[in-house]
Amino acid sequence: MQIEIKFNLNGEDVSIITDPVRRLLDVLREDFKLTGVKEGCSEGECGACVVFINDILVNSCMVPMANVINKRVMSIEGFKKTKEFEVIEKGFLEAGAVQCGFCTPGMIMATENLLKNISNPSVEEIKEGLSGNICRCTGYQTIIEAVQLSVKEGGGLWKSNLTSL
Amino acid sequence: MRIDTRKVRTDGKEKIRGENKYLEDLEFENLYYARTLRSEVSRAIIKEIIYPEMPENYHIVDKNDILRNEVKMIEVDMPIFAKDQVNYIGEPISLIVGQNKDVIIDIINHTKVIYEELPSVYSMEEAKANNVTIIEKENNEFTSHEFSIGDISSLNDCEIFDGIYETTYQEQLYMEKQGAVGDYKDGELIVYGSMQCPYYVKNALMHATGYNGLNTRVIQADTGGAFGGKEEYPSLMACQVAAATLKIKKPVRLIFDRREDIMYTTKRHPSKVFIKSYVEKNKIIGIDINVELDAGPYIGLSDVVLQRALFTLNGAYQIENAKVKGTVYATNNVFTGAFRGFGAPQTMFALEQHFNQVATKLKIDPFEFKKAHFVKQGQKTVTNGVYVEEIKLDEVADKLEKLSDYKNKMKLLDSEDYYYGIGVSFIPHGGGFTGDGEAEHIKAKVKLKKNKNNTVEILIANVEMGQGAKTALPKIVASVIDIDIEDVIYNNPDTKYVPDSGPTVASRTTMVVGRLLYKAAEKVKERFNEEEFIVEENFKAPDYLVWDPETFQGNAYMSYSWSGNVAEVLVDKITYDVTVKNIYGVYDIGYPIDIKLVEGQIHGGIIQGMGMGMMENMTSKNGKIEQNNFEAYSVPTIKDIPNMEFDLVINEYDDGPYGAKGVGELTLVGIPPAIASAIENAVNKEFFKVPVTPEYILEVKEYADRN
Amino acid sequence: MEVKSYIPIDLEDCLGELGNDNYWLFAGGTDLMIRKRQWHGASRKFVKPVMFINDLKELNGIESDDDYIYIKSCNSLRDVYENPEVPEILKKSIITMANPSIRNMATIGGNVANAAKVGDTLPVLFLLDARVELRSKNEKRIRKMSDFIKGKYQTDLRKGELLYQVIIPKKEYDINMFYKVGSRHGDTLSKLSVSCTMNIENNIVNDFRVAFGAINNKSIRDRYIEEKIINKSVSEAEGLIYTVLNEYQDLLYGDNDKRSTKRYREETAIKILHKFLKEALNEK
Repeated sequence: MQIEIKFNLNGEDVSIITDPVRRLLDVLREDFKLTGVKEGCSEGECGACVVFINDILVNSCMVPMANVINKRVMSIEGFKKTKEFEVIEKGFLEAGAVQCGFCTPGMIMATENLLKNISNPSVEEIKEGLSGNICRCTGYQTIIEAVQLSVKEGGGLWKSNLTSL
Repeated sequence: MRIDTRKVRTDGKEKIRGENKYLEDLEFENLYYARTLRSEVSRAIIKEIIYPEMPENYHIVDKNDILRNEVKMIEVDMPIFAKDQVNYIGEPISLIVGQNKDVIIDIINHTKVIYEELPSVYSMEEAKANNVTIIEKENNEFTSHEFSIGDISSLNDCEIFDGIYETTYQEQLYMEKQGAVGDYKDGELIVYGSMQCPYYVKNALMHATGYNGLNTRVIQADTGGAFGGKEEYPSLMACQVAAATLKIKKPVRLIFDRREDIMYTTKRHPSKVFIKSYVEKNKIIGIDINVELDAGPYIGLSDVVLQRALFTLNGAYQIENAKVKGTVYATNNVFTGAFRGFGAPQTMFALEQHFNQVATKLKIDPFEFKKAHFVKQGQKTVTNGVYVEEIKLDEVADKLEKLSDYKNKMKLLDSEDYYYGIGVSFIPHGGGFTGDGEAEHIKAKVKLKKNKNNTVEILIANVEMGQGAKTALPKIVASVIDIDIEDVIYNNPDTKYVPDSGPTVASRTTMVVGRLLYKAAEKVKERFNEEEFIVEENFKAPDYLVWDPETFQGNAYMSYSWSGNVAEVLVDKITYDVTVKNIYGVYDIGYPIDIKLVEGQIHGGIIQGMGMGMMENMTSKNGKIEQNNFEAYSVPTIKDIPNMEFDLVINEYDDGPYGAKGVGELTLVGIPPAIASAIENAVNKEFFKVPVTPEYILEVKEYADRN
Repeated sequence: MEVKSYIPIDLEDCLGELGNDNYWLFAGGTDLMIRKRQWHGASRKFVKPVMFINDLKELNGIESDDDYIYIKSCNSLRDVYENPEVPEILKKSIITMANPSIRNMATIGGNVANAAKVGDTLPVLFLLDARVELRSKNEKRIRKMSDFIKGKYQTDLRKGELLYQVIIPKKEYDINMFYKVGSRHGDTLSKLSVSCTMNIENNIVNDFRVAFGAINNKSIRDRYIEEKIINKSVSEAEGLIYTVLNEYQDLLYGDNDKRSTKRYREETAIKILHKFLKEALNEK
C-alpha cells in the first residue's frame, strides 16, 4: 500500500509516497540520502539510528512511516547546524571520544537528548542517558568526559528542563 | 609539528557530523543487491538445489560462476560457494542478486535445498573422540605443534598443581556490519569493502578469478570497527561479489544483517588449556601446557592463532622447564578467526589464572608471586629465543602497585551486601607478525609521495578502522619532516596506488609500518627542496631475529609490549552480579605516538576484555550460535564500565618509530584474568572458565562442594 | 510484499475497522519491528494487515479519580514514568526497561498486550491489582491482569478488540521494591524480577504483596500466600518467613536457556524476597 506521507525533515516540509509500514531509517537513508543515520542492529539496541521526532529521541529502525505523519524529524544532518552541536562536537574532539565513528552520530544525538532534559548531569545520569548507545571502540569513559566538557563549555546553553529521560 | 604534542584526530569532525561514508553509504549507479542462500544444516551433501523460476534480471551466483572456487587465505580449503557439501550451519551456497530486495527474499524463501545429512562434530571433545572424521587429516586435527625448553621429566621432588581452563566464543561486534561491493568497469574488477587487509583481498580475488594484478583493484571503504573480524572474512565476501559482478557486469553489493553477521562470520576460538605446574620452594620451575582450539571446518588463520597462543607462553614469567603443545581441531561449528589478541587471550587467561590459583594455595599474595617469576632481559623464551630488549616489568609492577594502591586494597573487607575482590595480571604481547612472518611473508613496502605544493602523501595498505592510524601515522611523518599534520595526506588504501605494506593486524601498524614511514620520511626531509618525488622503504628484519619456522625455535617476536592490570570487583552476595569498580593498567608500549590514541586503545581493550571476562557468553548448540542478536549477546554498555586509570612506562624500542611498540591487542589480554582472579579473591573459590557469569559463580560457590 | 495497513482517524474508526480483518495492532512498534524484522531496505515481514494506533488521541493520556488511575494504552513508558499519580513501584520497573529512546516509543499497552515472558510492567501490574479495559466496536470488557494474561504471548484479547486502558487502584504502599536481574547493568532483558510491597502499622502487617516476573511464562502472584502474614504482628510474620519462601519456591518454574539457568532464576528470586522480608519486618 502506498500513501502520501507529509512530515517535516530537518526544518523542511517534505512529502513522499511510500508504504506506511516502511522504516523511517530506510526512508531517511534511501529516499533522502541522509547517511548519517546508521543501521547497527535493527532492533533498537545499539542507538546508531536515533533521531528526534517532535523533540523526542527514538530509534528510527523501529519507527514505521505511519508514526511519522505530520511530525517533525531531526537527524544528525539537521542537528549539526545548531549551536548545541558545535559545543558537543568540540567536547567529543577534545576528549578523544571518537574512534571508528559508526556509533558517533547516534551518541551525539543522545547527548543532546540528555542535556536538554538534564542540563548538568551527574556521571550516573550521563550513563543512564547514553545507556541505549553501544560503542565497541572507546570503552565509553572518554565519551563521559566529552559530555562533561560540553556542559562545562556550553555556558548555560542547555537550561534545566524536565528531570527525566 | 612535534611528536609529543597531542593532536586531535584528523578524521574526528567528519565522523561526528555523520559525513564520512562507510560502505553502505557509498552510491553506485545501477546497483544490484545480493543476499546469501545459506546452509541450514551443519554437515551434508547437497543433493539438489531447486530454485524457483527466476524473474528477469535476477541471478543466481554460485560455484559455477568463479574460475577457482577457493578463498585464498593461507590454505585454500574454504570454498567461496559450497561445492557439493556443506560443513557448517550458514555456509554460503549461492548469492541471489537483483534490484528489489523483496523479490530476492521471496526467491530465497522459495528455494529448496535437498540435503543428505552427514554426522557432525560439535565440540573439541567429539573431534578428539574421532568417531567421525570431518577433514582429510587424521583425528580431526588441522595442525599440531610441540616444543619444549629445559626438561620437565627431570623434576621429581616438586609439588604439582593442575587445572583445565576454558574460554568460549567471543564476537567482535563491530558496530558496522560486514559488507563488500563488487564492480566490474572497463575491464577492471574493483572490490570495495569494510576491511583490514586490502592486499589479502586482492590476492584472494586474483586467485579466484585468474585476473592479474593490473586489473584487480581493492579499495577500502571507511571501516566501522573490525578488531580482527574483518581480517580474513572480507576475502570471502569479496570473491563472492566479484563472481557476481563479473557475471552480470553491474555493481553488486553484499551487506549482512546483524544476526547473520553474529552467527556466521569469524569469531574468537573457543579454547581448552590443560596446565600442570611443578613448584619448588614456592616457585613454579616447570610447566606442562596443552592447548586446544576449535577452528570450525576450515583452517583459515587458525594455525597462526595457535602459534601466537603458544609463543606468548610463558607470559611475563621465566620458567626454566616448559613443555608446550597445541592442537587445532576441526568441527562443524561456525569457523573461527582473528579477534584482538589472536590466541593470546586464551593462553594468557589460563596461565594467569593458574598462577593466581597456585599462589593462593601456597598462601602467597598473587602480586608478589607473579613478580618473583618476572622474566628478564637475556633470558630464554619458551621457543629458545632470547629476550634481547630491556624488560621493565619491575617498573610496571611498581607503578601498578602505586596506581592501584594494591597493598592496602588487599586488606579491604567485604561489605554487608558485597564480597570485595582484587586481582592482578601481567601480560606480554609480541608486536608484528610471528617469527619470520614480516621478513618472509609480508615483506612490507611503504611509499611517500612529495607533491609540488609541499604536501606529502602516505601510500600504504594499512587502514584506519577506529584505532587512529589516520592520525598516528601522519603524525610520525609530519614530525620527522617537520611540517604540519594538515599537510600529510592519507587516503583509504586503494591497491591501484599503494604498495603492500601488509595487513592491519598483529599490532604492527605503528611499530612496523610506522617505522618504515619514519625512515621514508627521513629521506623525504633530505630531499624536500625537490618539486615532487616518491620514496620507498622496504622492511628489513633486525639482525637479532633468528627464527626457524620448521621447528619453531628462536625469537618468535621482534619486540614485546607489556601490561600490568589490577581489577577490583564487588560481587553481590545475593545475585552474584559482578560490578567492576576499578581497573588499573600500566603499560610498556615503547613510546606513545599520541597519548589520546593510546588511551583509546587502553580503554577500548579493557572494556572488550571485561566483556570476555564476565559478560559475553556465547555458546554453540548443535552447530548453531545461540546468542544471535544485540540483546542476547551482552557486550558492556556505558552503565557497566569501571573507573579506568592508566600509566605508562617508557621503554623505547630502537626499531620502532620514536621507540613505539604495538599497543592494539595487549590492552585486552590482561583483563579477563585480572577480573576472574578478582572474583576468585572475592568469593574464595576457584574459577576455570570465562566469562565468569553470575550463574557460574552460583554453581561454584554453592554447589561445587556437593559434587 | 504488499502489506495492507490502516491508519484510523479516531478510535471509532479504528474499532469499526478492527473486526473486519485479522489486524496486528501497531503501537510503539518496539516489539513488532523486531519480530517482523527483515533485511535492511526490504519490507518488514508483516503477513497480516497492520492497524496503526499509536497517535490516536483517545488512546493517549493519563487520568485519575479518587479511587483509580486510568492509563490509556498508547502512553509511552516515558509518559507513564513522568506522571505523578503513577505508583512508585511501577516507575521503578519502567526505568529498568531497555533504554531512554525505547522508553520513548514503547507503550504500556504494548507491553501488556504482548504478554512477553520478560515484560517488566506485567508483574507490577499483577501486584497492583491492575485491570485492563478492552474495547471493540460494540463492547467494553474489564479483566483482571491474571485473567487477561494467559501465558507467554497469550492473552484473552478477542478479535476486533484492543486494549483501551490500564486501570490501577489507588493505594499507598509504605515499602515497595522492584528488583530486576539482567545480564548487564544497562539495556537488558530480565532473567528474573521480584516486586514486593508491605504496609505495617502499629506493629501489624496490614498488607503484603509479591509478584515474580520473567521466571514462569506468566507473572506469579498468590494472594493466599500473602495473606499468611497479613494481620499478623511483625514478630509472628518474621516467624513465618520460611513458610512463605517455601510456598513461593514451589510456584517457580524457571528455564535453562541462552540467558540463564533454572537454578539461578529460582534461587536468586527467593533470596531477593527473603532479603526484602527480613529488612521490611526488621525496620519496624
